[in-house]
Amino acid sequence: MDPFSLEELYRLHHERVYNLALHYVQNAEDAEEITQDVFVKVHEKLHAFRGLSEAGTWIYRIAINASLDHLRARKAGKRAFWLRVVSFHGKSAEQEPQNFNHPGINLEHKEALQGLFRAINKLPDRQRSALILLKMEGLSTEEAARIMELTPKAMESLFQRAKAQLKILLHQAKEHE
Amino acid sequence: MNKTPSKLDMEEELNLLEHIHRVPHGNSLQQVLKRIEQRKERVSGAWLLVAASLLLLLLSADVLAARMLKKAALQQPLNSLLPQTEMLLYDE
Repeated sequence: MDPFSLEELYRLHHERVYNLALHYVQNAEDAEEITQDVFVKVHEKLHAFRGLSEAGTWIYRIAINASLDHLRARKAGKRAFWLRVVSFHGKSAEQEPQNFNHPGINLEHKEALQGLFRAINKLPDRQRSALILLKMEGLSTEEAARIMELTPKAMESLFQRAKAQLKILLHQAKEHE
Repeated sequence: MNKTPSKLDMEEELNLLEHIHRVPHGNSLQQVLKRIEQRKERVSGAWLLVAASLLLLLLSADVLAARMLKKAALQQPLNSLLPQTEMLLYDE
């Protein structure tokens, strides 16, 4: 079988893509939509790929971008909705709580992780990706650096910045409680 | 080296992320293929629309040009034809 056929790439990588998307959106339905979107993009760009880099790395990159695009679109949609609400009622409204439905999280950790994800979701895109790849996907610094097109040193530094920023966000969240 | 309490909390919280287990994913290749087909149809539909719009634009431009020529011909003053008539008369 052609190693670069859509069927083969899907067979090898669909589960990884789905789990990665889950870490970004924490919602099974959205992650499924992103997974399908990623492989539509893989099909469109397959002629340009021609095995120039490792297929897994390439698909990971597409999946990260698709997940971030999905979040941006969701945010823009939500903003437009609340602008309509605000203009209708003449006062600001609170943000809609996120539909948290990560099937990979056990019930005993759900509450703690929901709070942690709330802070992670506020991180800048690259810091969030660093945290997801290294801490949730369990990739090595070298693997994550290849995906994010950074040197291992820059990757490590990005991860440290992500952790420092997360610490501030968690501290702020605890102060608000 | 001893960790400060806040750092310990942070590391403990981060370690929770390692408790997230991988989720099996059902095969949705058929849906992907369906979406690829739908996208192809949308793209060819869009091209068809662009071609039809261009054709309509060309036809409109053609009709407009014909109308303008007709209007210009009708608006041409009759006396602009006179010198030619006069010349004809002199010739006779």
